[in-house]
Amino acid sequence: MADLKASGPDVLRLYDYKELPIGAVAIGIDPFGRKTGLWRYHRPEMVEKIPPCQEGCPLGNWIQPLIREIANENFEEAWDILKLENPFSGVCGRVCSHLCDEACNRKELGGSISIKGLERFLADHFWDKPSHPVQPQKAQKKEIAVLGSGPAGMACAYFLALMGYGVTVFESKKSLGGIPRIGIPDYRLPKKILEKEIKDILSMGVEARTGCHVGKDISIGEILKFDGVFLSTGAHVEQPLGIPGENLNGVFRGWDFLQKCNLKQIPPLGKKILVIGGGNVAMDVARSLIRLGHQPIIIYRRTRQEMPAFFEEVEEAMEEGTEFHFLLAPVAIHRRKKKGLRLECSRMKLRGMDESGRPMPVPAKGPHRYFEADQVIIATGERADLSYLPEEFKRQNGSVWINPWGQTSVPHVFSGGDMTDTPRTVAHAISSAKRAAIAMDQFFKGNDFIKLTPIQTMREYLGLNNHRVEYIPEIVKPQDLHLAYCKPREIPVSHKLPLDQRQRSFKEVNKRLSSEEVIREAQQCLSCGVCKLCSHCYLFCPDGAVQLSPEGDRYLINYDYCKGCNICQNECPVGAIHVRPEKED
Amino acid sequence: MMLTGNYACAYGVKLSRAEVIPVYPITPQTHIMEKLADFVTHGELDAEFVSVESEHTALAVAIAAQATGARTFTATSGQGLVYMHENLFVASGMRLPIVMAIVNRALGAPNTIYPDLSDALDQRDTSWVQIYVENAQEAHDMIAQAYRIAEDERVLLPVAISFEGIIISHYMEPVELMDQDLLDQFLPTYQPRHVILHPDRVMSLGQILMDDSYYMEYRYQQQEGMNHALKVIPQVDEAFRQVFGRKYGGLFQTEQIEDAEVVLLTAGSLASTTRAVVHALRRDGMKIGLIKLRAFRPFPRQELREILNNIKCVAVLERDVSIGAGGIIHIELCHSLYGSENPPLLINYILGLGGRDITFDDISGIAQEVYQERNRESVDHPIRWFKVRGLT
Amino acid sequence: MNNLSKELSKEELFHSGHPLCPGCSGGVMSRWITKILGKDTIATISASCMAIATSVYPHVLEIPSIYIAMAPSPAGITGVSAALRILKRKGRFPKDRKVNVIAISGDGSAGDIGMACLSGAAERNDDGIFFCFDNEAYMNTGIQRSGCTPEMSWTTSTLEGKQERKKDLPRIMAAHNIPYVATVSIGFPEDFIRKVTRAKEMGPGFKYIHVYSPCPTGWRFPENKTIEVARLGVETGFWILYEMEHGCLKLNCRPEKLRPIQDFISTQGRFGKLSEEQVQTYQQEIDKRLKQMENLERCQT
Repeated sequence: MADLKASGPDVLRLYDYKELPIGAVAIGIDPFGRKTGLWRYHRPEMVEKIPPCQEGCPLGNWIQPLIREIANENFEEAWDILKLENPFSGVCGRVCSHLCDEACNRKELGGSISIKGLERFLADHFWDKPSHPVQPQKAQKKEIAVLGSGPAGMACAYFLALMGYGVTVFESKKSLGGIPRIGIPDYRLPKKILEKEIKDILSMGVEARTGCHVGKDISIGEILKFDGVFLSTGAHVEQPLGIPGENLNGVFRGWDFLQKCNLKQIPPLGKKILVIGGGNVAMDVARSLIRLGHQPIIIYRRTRQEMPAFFEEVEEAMEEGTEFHFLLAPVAIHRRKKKGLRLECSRMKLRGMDESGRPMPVPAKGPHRYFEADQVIIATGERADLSYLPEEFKRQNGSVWINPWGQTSVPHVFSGGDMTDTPRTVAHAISSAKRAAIAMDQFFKGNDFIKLTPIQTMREYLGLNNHRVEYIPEIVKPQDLHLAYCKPREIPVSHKLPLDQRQRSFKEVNKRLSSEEVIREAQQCLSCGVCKLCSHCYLFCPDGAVQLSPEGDRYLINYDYCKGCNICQNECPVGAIHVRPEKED
Repeated sequence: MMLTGNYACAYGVKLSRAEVIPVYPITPQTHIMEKLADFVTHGELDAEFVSVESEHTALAVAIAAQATGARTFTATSGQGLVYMHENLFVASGMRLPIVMAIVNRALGAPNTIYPDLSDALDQRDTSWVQIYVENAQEAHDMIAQAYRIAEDERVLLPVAISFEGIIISHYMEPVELMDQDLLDQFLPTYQPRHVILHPDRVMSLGQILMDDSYYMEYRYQQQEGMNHALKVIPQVDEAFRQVFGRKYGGLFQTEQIEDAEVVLLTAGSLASTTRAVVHALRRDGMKIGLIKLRAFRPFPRQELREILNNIKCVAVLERDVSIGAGGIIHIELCHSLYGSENPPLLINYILGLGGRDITFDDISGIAQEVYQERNRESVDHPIRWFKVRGLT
Repeated sequence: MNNLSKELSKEELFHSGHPLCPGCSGGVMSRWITKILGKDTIATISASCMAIATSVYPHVLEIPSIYIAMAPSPAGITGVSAALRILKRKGRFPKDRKVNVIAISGDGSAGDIGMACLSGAAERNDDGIFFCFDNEAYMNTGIQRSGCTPEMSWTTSTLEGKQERKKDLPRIMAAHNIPYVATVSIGFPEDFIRKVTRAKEMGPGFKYIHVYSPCPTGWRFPENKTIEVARLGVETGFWILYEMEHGCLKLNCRPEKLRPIQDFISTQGRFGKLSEEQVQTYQQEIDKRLKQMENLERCQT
């Protein structure tokens, strides 16, 4: 088009009547035309804001491009994006509480997008394909010790290996994996998933030494000789209830029980078993008991609303036949004359708030209740074992103290996971590990990083998230979106194992979505605040002033011709265009 | 062949190989349309015959088709011509060499189907080349010449060939048809270089000028085209004579004016009767001559000035009038003769409007009346309405 | 609407730099039409807002076009297609090259002054696609009322609201028994693209496409709402999108539940002074008309 020069009534270059082409005709088009951009009073600008799912995810998954790649059926690219931030997608896709889903704007518009389902699908889809590390950097000459092979420890090893460091993981038990290995039952997390993801991490050159207990097989001094150390030994010490009878025969602790269950070393159990507690451990215990053919009864001191266990877990436990009793706190455990135990509970009522912000249970008037059972399993909480750490390590509230970057009071030692004061979830553990790995990299480079805001994501750290458009660090709310293009929600039916099969075996309960379901689900994501190349701005511009960039990754506005009608802003479904007054010259 | 004026015109169109023919019927032009439909249906003429729903559309279709590169033809009369008035300017403004046959018909109200020249002469400002013919043979021949004049690169203006309805269009006379092969050589295919709607060449026809920057230049270009037509018309007339042997005199035809003292100037079928009168009166010894005006646009100002220089008196006999001014040809003639050294006395006879019959005796009477006044400096009533009941 | 731009050609044939109002539906419509039909198109434009965009320097339309006068754009279709036919027969134009012949005309040019011309071209079934750019008034001369102005609408020549009803041009054209009549709205790009493609690929014949185009300047609404108003028009039943292929009627983009007409009326200043009663009357009219169309569709054999 540019080579067609206009020959005709050019008002800027007035032709002679002899030169003017005859016939009231103009030949060709003017390549420069009329600069209608001068008409503007307001200009539209492409921006990018923060989708709430990305803000909600503790470990900073890059969710919007992940979903977009799935929607465009580019599973490989989606997998790479996932792998960048999380080596344990298979695990998280099954056991994470998915704060991303909770934060999703679509929740009020038909139902959240099941990001959990998408994550799990990808992990399973690439199950038998070799998983290559994303963006490995060149080898650094530093060696780092990681204590504990739970999600925090293994994730830290992964990120450090990604950045080119040599890592050795020390694990006191015989197998790697931490709580996902020993504490989460098979019906929630099949072990082969965990094993595959750990194997992938090891295949990056990470060394693992199992059966190596710090203090027994190796001293803390030797550990501290490494260039850098990451402590992630978790919280496995069961807290005593402080009631008489808790050490009787037949009284077990939750974690201990689950571990034995996983190792297939279950002690002989009777029919009726009382489970005290309201967290995920209690639910896991109860549901495992059902599968083993027993009848669990849950005793919890608050009501269902305050139970810290995942909502789904409680639901499924109830479906599978667990009995629940609320507002009861154990006071004592008695031995029965012939066999078995009797649990004495005081009734409770809720009044006020405790320091965790939940309603506080206080004893209520009335007679105590008694329950009879063959065994009692107490699953009320654990704490970290800090006994192996020398005094230089500051403590805080029973956890090891760390600064916002994850650095302990000993400069080259970092920590994360359940042994620090952080919410006890897999996602938070991986998040703390990632932050600490980034901090360690900064530390080795000699940067003064403590005063800076901690970097939470690998993409930010490796510079992969170059914001090509103006970045506004605001979280998008539903009213920022233009919902005319929001189609009615089609929630995928979640496939579960039939109830009777669930009660009899440890087979995984939740099945994964099919690839068609996953694509359909991803296509319903509203892509809050981030351009998803839907091309409305290009399509609806009356002037053709919005065009695809040469690289094909975003839309550019040609301000020479944009008249400032702002149709693009009105039709952008994700709210990625802002209108600002034109600057006066 | 014995043909009416309409049929002769139709044969002319057929032999000129017109390609797109949008026509709307109106008395007295209908036979042209019917004959052309006949030719196209029976394969004698390979053309697109389009029956449109109004004359305005007919010319619009012609414009669009000509702009796309096909040779077009249309025909109309009286009311139809006035209905397409808007598009006449468009056609000439776009320099499209359309040829139109105007079968003259008087304009209503009061309505009539009888002829006078007002309809075509009223379009004198539309920048069309206008040629008036006197009989069927001339109508037949002029269609071919019209294409050649119009498509000449120096002219590139649409051409209208006018002949009177009923008198010429409906009366039969012997017509010698042009030979097709000779005509194909005389008239090559239309190959436009200035204006063409073709997908490979982006062109925007019919500009809208949002300011005063170019209008005058476009109009001047058209004036230049018309100026060239003054030369091209006689050239084509001569070329035609060389191929077909018939000549018509170009811009106008003169008859016995070498030593004339009085000249009768007229156009159209009146010229035939006037010619006979002139011959008769010459035999009686009167020094009288005839000028049959053919090209009204471009008006042959200079040429007429030269020829009429030493004539004592010119009587303009015309079948038209511009109410409030006088006979149109008379007015144009006055304008041409202004400033010449020895201008003749000009008398205007407005006659035959609405097809009123003008006989040999009528013209003879006029000629003698004028002859008697030929030595005067001026006359009382230079503009005379002839044969109006109640008017002396 | 999954990236419709993939279905359209990337080439811009209606470039930036034209003097249409900001937010003009005509710009959107012309871009889509030229992208769908491509370079092998010859257009006749008649006097309307679109003529200003295409026939005024600097020119932005990259296809050959001709502007004759206000009424005769359908005659343009007749003339160009007739000329192409004869030129192909005589070998001056390649026989197998298909050229789309189109006309773009406003609602005034098509339905009022050019009604005879349009009717004639339709009756002759000339080969071409006729686009009526319906912005419901004579916008180019400054928002005067036209035959297609809806009832109760303000214009500069009907200051208290037009008393008469809107002329139903698509149904008038359907009565000519032409091969294809369709109504489209620029708020529904998929439908638009499908129908224009259908018209393009159909065999020779006269195809009429009526484009409902909101005009921010004339209807008095903010410029960025053009597409939204176009959508609302269909969602409230103010416009009905349908197509008639060889006389067989099919309604498209029917909303599951009609929104109240108040939603549409309240967006535009031209309906600013309507009373409650008038709105109710309007609602009844619209319901009745939709029912009529639905019945028509159902009763086809």
